[in-house]
Formats: sequence, C-alpha cells, structure tokens
Amino acid sequence: MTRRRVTALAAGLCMLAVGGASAADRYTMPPPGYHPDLSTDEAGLWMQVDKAETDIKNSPTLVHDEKLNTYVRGLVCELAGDFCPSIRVYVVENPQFNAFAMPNGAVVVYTGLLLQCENEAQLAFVLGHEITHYLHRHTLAHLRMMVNTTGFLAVFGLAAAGAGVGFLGALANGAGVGAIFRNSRDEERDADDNGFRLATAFGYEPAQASAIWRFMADQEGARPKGSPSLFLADHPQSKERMATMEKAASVAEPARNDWKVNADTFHAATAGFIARWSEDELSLNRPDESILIFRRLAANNPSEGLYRYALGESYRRRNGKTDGAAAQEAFRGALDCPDAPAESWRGLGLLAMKAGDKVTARDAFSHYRTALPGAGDKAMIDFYMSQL
Amino acid sequence: MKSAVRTVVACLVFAAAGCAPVTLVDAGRPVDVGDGTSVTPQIAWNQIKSDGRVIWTQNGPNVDRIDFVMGVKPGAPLMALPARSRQGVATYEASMLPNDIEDLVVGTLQKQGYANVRASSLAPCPLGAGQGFCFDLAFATSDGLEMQGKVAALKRSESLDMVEFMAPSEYYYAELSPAMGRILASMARK
Repeated sequence: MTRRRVTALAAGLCMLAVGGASAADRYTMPPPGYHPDLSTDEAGLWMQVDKAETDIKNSPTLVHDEKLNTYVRGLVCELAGDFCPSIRVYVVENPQFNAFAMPNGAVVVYTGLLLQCENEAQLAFVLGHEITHYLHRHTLAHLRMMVNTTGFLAVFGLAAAGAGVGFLGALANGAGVGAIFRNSRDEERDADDNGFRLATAFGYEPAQASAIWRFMADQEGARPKGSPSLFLADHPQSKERMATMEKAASVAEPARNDWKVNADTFHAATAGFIARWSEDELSLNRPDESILIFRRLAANNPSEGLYRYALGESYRRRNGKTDGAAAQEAFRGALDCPDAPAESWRGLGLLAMKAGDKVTARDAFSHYRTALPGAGDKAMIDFYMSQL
Repeated sequence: MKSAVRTVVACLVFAAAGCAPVTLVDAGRPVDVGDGTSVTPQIAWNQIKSDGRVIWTQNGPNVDRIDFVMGVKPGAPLMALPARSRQGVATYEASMLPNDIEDLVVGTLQKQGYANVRASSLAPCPLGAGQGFCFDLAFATSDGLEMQGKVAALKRSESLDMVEFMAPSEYYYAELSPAMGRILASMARK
C-alpha cells in the first residue's frame, strides 16, 4: 500500500469515525478476502450470486478491452484499499446510466455511466457508492430478506419477470437487476455518504458529487412519468441527493485546495469508445434525454466533435419542428472540431435531402464519400446522389 | 416417414412459438404474406401468424425467423411489443429515408430486448420487381446468443413493406441465408 493510499484511507476512516458512526454501528464490513462459511445461509446466497456472476463473465455484452478494464478496476482498487482483492469489476456494454454491486463483491459498471460522466471524480463518487453497498452488505440484507420470504427461485425469477430470460436478460434490460440487487433508501443514503467520504479522502473534488445528481435530475425531467432511470429507481430523489451532496461539499471543500477531477485521465481511458457508446445511447430512441446528455457533454468538452455529432443525430432523429436547424448547427459545430466524424456530413446531407435542398445535399454527401471512402452505406449514399 | 418428421418439427415449433397456431408452408407455391404481397419459398417453412404478422421459421422462432412486416402505415411501430416496452417506441413516418428506417429497426430491436444491436452495409437492393434497400444486423439475444440478421424493405407510396430475417451467427445464419435471398427475389404483388 502506498503512503498516499494509507493517508487517504486513514483520512477516510477518520471521517467515517466522526461523521459515520451511526452507519458503522448499523452495517458490518466483511474482513478483506471474506467468504461466508459453508454452514451459513449466506453461503447459499453467494452460490446463487456466483452463478449470476458467471453469466456476466460469459455475456457477449462484457467489454473485454484490457486498457479500459485496467483503468476502471484501478479506480475501484484505489477507493476500496485493502478490500480491493475482494472486489471484481465488470464493464458491461449497456447504454443505461447504471452500476450495481452484488453481495459477493462483483461490481458491474454499465458503459452508459462511463459515457455520461465528465471526469474521473464523478466516476469515483459513483464507484465509491457501489463499493459501500458491498462493504456495508446492503444488498445481502435485502436478498436474505427476499429469499427468506419467497425462496431462491422466486428471487432469481424476478429477473425473468423483468426481462423474460433469466439473469442475463435482466442484465440487458436492467430493470430485473434492480429488482434483485436493490437497496432501501436509507442504505442508498448511507452509500452516498460513505461513497462521498471514500472519494474525497482520495482528493476528488467534492462538488463533482452534486454535479452528477444535478444532471440526473435534469434528465429525470425529460423522462416519461413512471420510468425513472435504473440507477435512481430505488434511490432518494435526485434533487434531495443533490442538496445533500452540495451541503457535504461545502463542509469538505475548505479542507484542501488541491482537489482533483482528473478529466484528462478519464478522457484518455474512454476516448476510443465514445463513438460506439454514443451510438448505443442513440439506439435507445429517447431523443429528449439524448439531447440533454450530448448538449451537456458537448458544452463541457468543446473540442469533442463526437458529442456534437451525436447531439446533431439526436435532433435529426427527433425530427421536431425546429430540430432540423438545431441538428444542422450541431453537425456544423462537429465539423469545426479536430475529431469531427465524417458522419456529420451524412447528417447534413440527409437533412438537406429531406428539406428538398438538392445542392446542399449533393455537396454534403460528396464530402461524406470523400472523407469516408469505405463507409458501410456508400452504395446507399451513391443512390441518393443519383436521385438528386 | 417424411411426414412424421414434419409433424414432429411442427409440434416442436408450436411449443417454441408459445402455442400460436403453426401451419406448414410448402415449397414451390406462392404464399400470401400480407398486404397483397406473396413470396414463393424454395423450401418448406413453418408459419406462425401473430398480431396480424406472418413469421416463418425452420427451427422455432426463438432460433431463426423471418418476419414479414407488410403495409406498415405512418404512425405505426414496426413490431408488436410487450406493454412494458411500448413507452417511447418510435414509429414509421412516410418521410423516412432508408437511413432513418435502419435507425428505426435498430431502436425497435433494442426495445424488444436485444443487446448491442448494430446495423451495417445499407444499400439499395431489389425486392422482387421493386427497388428497395437492405442492411445487415448483428446483435445478441437477451440470454447471450450472438445473432445476425438481414432486413430488406420497400417503400410503397405511404406504407412500408419489410422482411426481417434473424438467426444465430453460428451455423444457422449462413445455412438459411440462401433461402432468405430466394424468398426476397420471389416477392410479388397481387
């Protein structure tokens, strides 16, 4: 353990001792490397959860990229300290903003969370939250209660009810996972509090915790009623969390003046995936929410043409009264960026073609064909051009 | 013996189809697949009619299937979805370009519970005597099976005709692709 980590962990534990006495009383942390005795009911629960973890390992949605996994795992290990060997991290390709901890120490991070975070500090607060669920055995308590009431089959059948096809279906759908690994609102508050302590103990800027809940609250506003995000489904309201985190940040901030957000490190680790994850987000067909996401990401990362392109696509696909102009502006903004995707030209061409502007459409498609000669849809674009 | 095998396969397909009635479609004869369109298969298929749509399969609809989605009107979704998935589902619009319809299919498959849906190789292609467009699909089922697919579609004034084929990447897709190609080539309007 490095000196920096010892100092940070000590600081975290001090803060736990001062501010989290009630949490420490209520929740029992397993010793590092903990595995339940085979004679206990907990061993049975772990066996079921271990099977679910095996499903995740074999899932085609598991992201195998070594660099990305090393980065996320490294961050979890930094926050978990001595508990690192007890925790396995799985990055799963799913566009929802979600992460969850299983009672056996498996932590699942959805790529939608990685797309929507702006920096490492924001990710650290969410991971600190999930690590707390494991360390404080929140999910285990809920799972034990459910199994005692209804039995193993009924509990893991909930996944089937959520998605129709067992745990992997629940993983893809997300709702079923939420039903199994859910926590009470008090446990969520405890995870927020302790996650905040863990992340700030390692120097992550306290204000970034409330920033997450601010944009989640904005996005909640764009959702149809009755469909909260997976991450927030059993959580206290985003606005309540935002207020709590803002208060905690105002207390913690004066303690040091070298808080970090590590935006560059975060972007270096995720840059190669933004195009793919943006497509995943767009495929959810929730343009109101996608517009909020990409507008925020584009505003905070002005050089990122990929976000501007995705913003343009969100407007183009929503196809509302003023969306054509907004899409055009976003595509043109993307083309001003050094990493402009060639697809921005295609977006402009499709908009112009629909508007009957043949000259602009032909020009935009021509740029697209030049910029991306091997485009998968080149035959279709050539066909469009022949019709103009 | 051959008819006994056919009966057993039909029974298995019936079970896999969730008890929707299954009929056998013979090879070499034109078959009505909806909205005034017929196709002539080169091999026999099991046919299921569900929600007014025609589905053909060799090994059960959870393994391989061809969905004939004919005469989709503006404002209608491409596929029937379970109630919990209907919220926010995109619908077909007459002004949609093939790129838009490709996005619509990807979004609909996501809503149906498939994961990591990717479309590629959008290109014009003939559908019977008409000029339509085609694209390929790659995705995973919610229980982790890797699948491939092909969509062929044709806009007829306001409405859309679409044929969607999907099968596991391993073995089945390549095995059934030629039969799918012949079905598309045989498409005819009454």
